[in-house]
Amino acid sequence: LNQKHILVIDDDESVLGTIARILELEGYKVETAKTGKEAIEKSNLGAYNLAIIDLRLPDMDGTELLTAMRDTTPRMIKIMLTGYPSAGDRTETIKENADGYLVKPIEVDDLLKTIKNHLEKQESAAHGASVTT
Amino acid sequence: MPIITLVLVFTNAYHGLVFSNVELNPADPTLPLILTPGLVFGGMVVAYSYAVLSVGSIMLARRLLLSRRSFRVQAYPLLIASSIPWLFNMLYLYDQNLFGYVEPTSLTLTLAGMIVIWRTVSWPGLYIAPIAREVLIDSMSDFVIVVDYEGRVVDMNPMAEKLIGRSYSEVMGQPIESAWPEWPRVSKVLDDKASATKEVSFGTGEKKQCYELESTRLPGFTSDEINLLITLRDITKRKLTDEKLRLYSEHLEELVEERTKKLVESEGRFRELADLLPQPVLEIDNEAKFTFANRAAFALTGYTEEDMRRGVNALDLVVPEDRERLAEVTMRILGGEHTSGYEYTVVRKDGSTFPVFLYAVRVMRGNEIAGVRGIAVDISERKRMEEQLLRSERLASIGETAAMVGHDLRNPLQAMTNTLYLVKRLAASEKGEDRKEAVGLLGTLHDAIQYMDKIVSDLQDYARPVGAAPIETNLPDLVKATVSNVKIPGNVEVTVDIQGDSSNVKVDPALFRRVLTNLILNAVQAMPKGGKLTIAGSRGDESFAVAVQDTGVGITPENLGRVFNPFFTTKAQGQGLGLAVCKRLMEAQGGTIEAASRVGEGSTFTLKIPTNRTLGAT
Repeated sequence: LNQKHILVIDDDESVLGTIARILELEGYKVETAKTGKEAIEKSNLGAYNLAIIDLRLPDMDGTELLTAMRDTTPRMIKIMLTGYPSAGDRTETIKENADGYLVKPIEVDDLLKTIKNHLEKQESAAHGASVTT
Repeated sequence: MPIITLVLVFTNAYHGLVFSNVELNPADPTLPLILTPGLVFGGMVVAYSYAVLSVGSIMLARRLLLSRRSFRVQAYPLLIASSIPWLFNMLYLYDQNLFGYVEPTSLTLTLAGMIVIWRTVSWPGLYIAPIAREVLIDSMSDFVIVVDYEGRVVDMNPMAEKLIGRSYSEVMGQPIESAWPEWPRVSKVLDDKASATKEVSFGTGEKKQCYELESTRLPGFTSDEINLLITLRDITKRKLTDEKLRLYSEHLEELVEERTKKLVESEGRFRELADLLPQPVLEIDNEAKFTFANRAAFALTGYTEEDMRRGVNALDLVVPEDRERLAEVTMRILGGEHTSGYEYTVVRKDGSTFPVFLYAVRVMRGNEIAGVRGIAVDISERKRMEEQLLRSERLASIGETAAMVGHDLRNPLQAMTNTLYLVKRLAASEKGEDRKEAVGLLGTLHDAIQYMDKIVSDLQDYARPVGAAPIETNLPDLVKATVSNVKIPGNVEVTVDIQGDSSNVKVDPALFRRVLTNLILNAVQAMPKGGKLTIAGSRGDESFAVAVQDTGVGITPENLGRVFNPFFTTKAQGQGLGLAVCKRLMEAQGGTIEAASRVGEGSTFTLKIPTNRTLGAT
C-alpha cells in the first residue's frame, strides 16, 4: 500500500481538526501538531511525505520551524498554509525552504489538488532516483 | 659822622674844634661849665644832628600819611617823640635863660629816646614779625624779586637766586635786564593786561618749568616811584598734572566715543541679525510690556512698531487659556530660573492664532532685573507635520490592525470552508454515522461564527471611545450575577467571596460586567486541565477591590508587563485585545486593573474602584 503520510501543523483546533478529517477521507494517513516543538518531535519520529504548516505558532514562528526541519526532513514536502497574504520579510526563508505557500481560506479542492500534485512529483522524483541508482 | 664827632670831643683839648673855650662859671663854680662852641660843634655837628632829625621826622610824617592804620598807631608817638627836641631847642634859642642853668638838649633827646623805646617795646609785632618776615621770604618756595622804580634789583630770596643763577650780592643794584636775561619775557607777560592768568615758562622738553607770575606795586617816595615786588610760583608739577588730566580726559572721550561707536555698531548688528531671523525675537520689561521685537515678530503677529511704542502687553499676545501659564513661567524666569521652552498659542492682531514654542531668558541690566528676552519658534508647520504623522501612524495602526484582524478572521473562515466541504461530503454519504458526523460538524460552524463575532466586537470595543455612566452599584450582587452567567467547565471549582458593602462605589454595571466576564474567561482558559477560580471582593481604605484568581499556567514576568498592551497575546486564538479593552473600560469608570502572576501557580487580576471620589461628592 502506498498510503501517504501527512503532518498538519496549526494551533487553531478547528482548522486542524477539519483539515485532518478531510485528508483522512481522501485516504491519507494524518498526524497533527499544535506547536512547533510537537511538530519537530513528530517529524523526527515518523517519515512524512508532506507537511502543512501554519506561519504563526504559539511557541515559534513557522519559518523557524521550516529552518529546524530543513536538515532533519529534507525530502518532506513543506506547504505553508497561513492567514497572512504576504510573508513580509520572511518571504526569502519561505521560498528557500518551503515548497508551497497557500493563503487561508483556501478552497478544499484547491488544497487537495496542490497536495496531490506535490506528492506525485515527489513519487516520480523518487522513482527516477531509484532508476538511475 | 658820630665816630668822628666822638674822636673830636675827646681830643678837644688839643684842637678846640668842638668847644673853643671851656671855663668855670665865674658866678658859681657849681654851675655847669661855660662852653664856647667851636667850629665843628657849633657848625657841623649841630647842623648834621638837626638835619638827620628833620629828615627822619619828614619820613615819619610821610609814612604816617601813607601807611596802614596799625602803622599810624605806631607812627604818631614816634612823630611826637622826634618833635620834642625841636620844640625845646627852639625855645632855648629864643631865650637862653628860660631853663636857668639846665641845658635842655640832653633832657629832650633822652625823653624822645624813651618814647621811642616805649613804643618799640610795647609794639607786639616786633617780637617775631621782622625775623619771621625774613625767614618767611627766604624759605618760601616762591621766587621773590624786588625791582625798584628804576628797574634795579633791590631784593631777592634764595629761590630767586637759584632761578636767575646768580647770587643776590652779584645782582643787587644791577638793572634787572642785565641781571636776568629772561626778564623781557617776564615783563611782557606782566604788562599783558588781557590775560587773566599770568604764566611764563623757561626751558623746553623735560626741563620745562612753568611759573605763575604775580607783581605787587610797592609805593616809593613819590607816586611816580613804583617799585615792583615780583613773585613767581613754580607750577610745573601742577601743569604736568593738568596736562596729564587733560590727556586722560581726552583719551577718555576718545574711548567713550569709540565704545559708543562699537555699541551702536553691535546694536545695529544685533538688530540686523535679529531681523534676519525667521523666528520672532522679543524683549519685554518687568511689566510684560514689549521693548523689542524683530521684523519676523511684527510680520507674524500683525502688530507694528507703532503698536509696540504705544505699549503691547505680552499676555495679550496669547490666547486667554495660556495667559496664566505664561505669567507664571515669566515670573519664574524673572526669578532667575532656567526654564525649558513652552508651547503657547499666539493671537495675532487680527484675532487669528498660531502655535509657538517660546524659549526665554532673563535680561539683567547691571544688577537690576530688566525683563525677559526670548525667541519664539512658529510651530504651525511642525504641528501640521505632527498631525500628519499622527494620521499616518493611525493609518499604519489601522493597517496593522486590519492585517491582524484579517489573519484572525482567516482561521475561522478556513475552518468554515473545511466544515462546509466535510458536511457536503458526509451528508451525501449513505452511511448513517457519516450523516451524524455532518450534523456534529455544524457545531464547528457555530463556534467559528462566535469566534468571528468576538474578534469584531473586541476590535470595536478597542477602537470606539468608551462612554461610561458610573452609578452607585451593589457590587456583590453584580459580581455574583456575572459569574453565574459565564459557562464554566466542570473541572474548574469556583468560589465567590465578596466582603463589605459597596455603598458610594460607582461603576458602569454593563462595562464592569464585561470586564469581569473577560477575566473569568481568561482564567478558565489558563486552566485547561481544571483548577480553582476564586473571585474575592473587599472594601479597602480608598477603593473597592475585586480580584479574579486562577491556579493556571501563569504568566512569565517578561510577559506580565505587556499583558495590557493591545495586540499582545500568547493565545492561539485572539488578537490580544481582551485585556487592553478591560483596561480601557476600567479607566473609563475611574478604576484600575492590575495583574500579578507566578508561572505554574496562577495569576490574579485585580479591579479597583475608588471610594474616596464619591465620598467627597456626597
